[in-house]
Amino acid sequence: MAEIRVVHYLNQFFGQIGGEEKADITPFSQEGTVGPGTALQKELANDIKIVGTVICGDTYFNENIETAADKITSLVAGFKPDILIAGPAFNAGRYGMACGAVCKAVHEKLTIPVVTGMYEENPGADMYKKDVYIVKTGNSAAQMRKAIPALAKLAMRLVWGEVLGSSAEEGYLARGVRKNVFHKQRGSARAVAMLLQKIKGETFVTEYPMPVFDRVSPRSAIKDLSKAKLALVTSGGIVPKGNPDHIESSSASKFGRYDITGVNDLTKETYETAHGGYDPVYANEDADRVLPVDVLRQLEKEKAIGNLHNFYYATVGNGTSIANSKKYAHAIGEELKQEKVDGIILTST
Amino acid sequence: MVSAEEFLVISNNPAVRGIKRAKMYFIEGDCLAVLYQAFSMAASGYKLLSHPLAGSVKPEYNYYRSIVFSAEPKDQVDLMHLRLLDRCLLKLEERQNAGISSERLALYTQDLQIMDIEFLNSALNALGERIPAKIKQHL
Amino acid sequence: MQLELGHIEVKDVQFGAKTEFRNGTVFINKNELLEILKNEHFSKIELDIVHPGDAVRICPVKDVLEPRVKIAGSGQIFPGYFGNAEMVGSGRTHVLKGMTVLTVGTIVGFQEGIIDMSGPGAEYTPFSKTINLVISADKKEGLFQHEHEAALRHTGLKAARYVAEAARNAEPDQISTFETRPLSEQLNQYPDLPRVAYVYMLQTQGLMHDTYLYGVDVKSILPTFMYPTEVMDGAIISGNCVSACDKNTTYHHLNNPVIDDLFARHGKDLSFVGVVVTNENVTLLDKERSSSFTAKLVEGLKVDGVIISEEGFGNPDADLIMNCKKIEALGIKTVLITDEYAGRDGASQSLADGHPLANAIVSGGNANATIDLPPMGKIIGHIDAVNIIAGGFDGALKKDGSITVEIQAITGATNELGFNQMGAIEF
Repeated sequence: MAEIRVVHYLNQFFGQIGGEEKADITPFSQEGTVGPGTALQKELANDIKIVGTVICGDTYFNENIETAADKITSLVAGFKPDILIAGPAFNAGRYGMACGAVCKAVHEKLTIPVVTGMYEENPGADMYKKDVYIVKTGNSAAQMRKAIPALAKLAMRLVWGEVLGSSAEEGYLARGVRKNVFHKQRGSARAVAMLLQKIKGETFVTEYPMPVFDRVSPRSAIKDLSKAKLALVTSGGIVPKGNPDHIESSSASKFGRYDITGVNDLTKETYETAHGGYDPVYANEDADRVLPVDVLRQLEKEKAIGNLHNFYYATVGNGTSIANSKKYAHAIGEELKQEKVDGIILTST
Repeated sequence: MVSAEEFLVISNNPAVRGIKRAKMYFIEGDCLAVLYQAFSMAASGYKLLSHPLAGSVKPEYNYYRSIVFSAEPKDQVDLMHLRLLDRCLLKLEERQNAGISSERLALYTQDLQIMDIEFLNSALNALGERIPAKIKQHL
Repeated sequence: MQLELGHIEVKDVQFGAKTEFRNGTVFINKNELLEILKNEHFSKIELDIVHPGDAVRICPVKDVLEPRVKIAGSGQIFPGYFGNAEMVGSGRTHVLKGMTVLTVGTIVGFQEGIIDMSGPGAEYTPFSKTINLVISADKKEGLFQHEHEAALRHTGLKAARYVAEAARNAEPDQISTFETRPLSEQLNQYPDLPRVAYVYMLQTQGLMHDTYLYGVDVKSILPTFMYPTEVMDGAIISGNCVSACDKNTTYHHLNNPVIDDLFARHGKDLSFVGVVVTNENVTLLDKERSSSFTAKLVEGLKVDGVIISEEGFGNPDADLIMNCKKIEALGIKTVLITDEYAGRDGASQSLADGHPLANAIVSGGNANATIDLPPMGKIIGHIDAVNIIAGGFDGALKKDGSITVEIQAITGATNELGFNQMGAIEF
């Protein structure tokens, strides 16, 4: 019986190349297993073999998504695999985005099953769970021991062509797809049973998890704009030329605060975009297109607004998790509140 | 509490055009166009009085829609209603590609107009109960 | 209130010289029935009998009823239509089990309500497993929709009542007894068991979306208390013809599975205290009023939890959530039964409203899932109806007569009383 061939995808860290300083390495491949691949191999059945590993730096991938995905797909194809396993990426945002994108591209081009593993808050999970099976893992590499067997198990079911059950049964992140099934009992009986569990305080499982309609209530309007102090905040990645704070092009781990005292216009010599999720040409030519400092200065002059706050805040929204976005928003909001800013104009892309 | 003496009906239903028992604003376009207008109005302070989706006729068949608002905008925007409209819009937008052609819809035109008038009548009758002059007027 | 329900098992239904029940078969005098149903609104009425397994497609189905007759106790089945609106739900009632009376008719253009008696479509409706007396009525020219709907509704009621007479003197194969005591007694009967009530939401928005309680349009009532057995005697009748998959036919009301399953555990691990009936009106004010009133009634019943069933889609999702929110706010636990409209790929939001407190939901399934129905040898109703079916889409009807349609078009497919085993889960 022919053995089943597996390719494993890893980033520069798990690929044992290096840390952040090696995040820009271009994709390459290697025979056999690397790093966690060894543990993964142990969990796979005897006739399933990891024949090769493809490694790529997270920064390189996220800044060159299409070319990187293409290159990686060819490298993967070179091993003539039956399945691709990526990660697990746990909560590492850029790694998760890479795993998801690689899986999707390989599945589409080579039509082989693909699977990866991530923590459910990883932005890569949100982005790719509808396209790719993502095994639910803990939020850090400390959970590797649990993640590897889970990843192996789902990979085997996929490569054997078995029909997968629901996300709850199989341990993958819910893909948001509702499918009709025939239960053993009729709905009313299930309802009575569920109610008794709920009344008794026992755990019960709802058949339809209510989506979170996360809404922020708007404040009341500013009564007199001509007296208001406004601030600019952007998730469009506009930073001083050279990106002094090294805000990442995706899955930003920070935000920056920049002084625009005396700045009336952003030029291509002085400002640029750090955002990796849109074509940067026009934003680099004139960053006012994303962060309209020129327009606000004009309004200031015309006394249509009171004044523009001398500091603006920037981060990159691309692939940034909701949890982090909230964190940055709270921090920025606090500072602007201290500065007695009346209103914020928030730009994205 | 509806204190306005009159109501404003927004509608794309030609059969509703001549109504006398409420102010009327006609909208050219499909159900989605009416809902977008409804959203703008709710955001401007008009009080939404009837539910944006009517009956159980599925959204992709629900071409004609009449929605009742207060005749004048209020000071406060009702955020719950805005959210409701947002969710209804989401449902409608999703069903845009359900594959129902205008030829098919044309077959039901009269029926859909009548159903819409029915729901509008239900709403106006219920609302008009508190205003003696408006009780049981015909459309 | 105590009701004995006697089930008479129907093994066959045939037309015969005399309407009677004999050796497991219901015989129906066709001419006599046609005479009773004859009416100025219809140009033609036809009667057919179909059996499970027949290669028959029935479309468009308007209502499904079950023949029941009161043997003892006050009132008539379908009170408000028959008799003097005396209260029902006590004494003894006979049921012809295993058969239905079906009405078929084109009231508005968007046909819906398919029942396939065999094939893949049969899996999705309970009425492929019953023997059905099908009444197809053609309306006279110029009949308005209101009159047509009312005429068809009355036709169904009259036919069910006529056929049910055959059960009057028959010996039931099985008798079940159901009892609900007046509240203070009921609360004390099983003091150690969790107390549960049922909030029964009814569609009430206007033409083809109406429901009747003792003959009264439920649109115009405030929520009210009922004994569960009243429902078994036809106190609630459907005038709801839109949304075949999740509307409650009169048959569903008569055989309400929530009431059945609560009674099944009554005295064992719960105490079933009663039913609160409420509506689903068009205005937001009515929705607020009805849900507040319902919560108040539920509070007065001193229960630990309620099951809330919805009827219909979209607009009523708002009522469902309001009822849930307000009852949960009183510290009373809720479980909701609803169906889903999650798109053909199952990836859209299932409901048109939501709230974090609605954390216990039983689903009747995704109404947008598609199914391929093969061509059928015989179609009862209107052949054109199959072409223009709600839940069908351009290109749905193939040249060979097979049709791809969303299950929303199948009568009872995603019923929100929890009648079916089908549901939906997350993949």
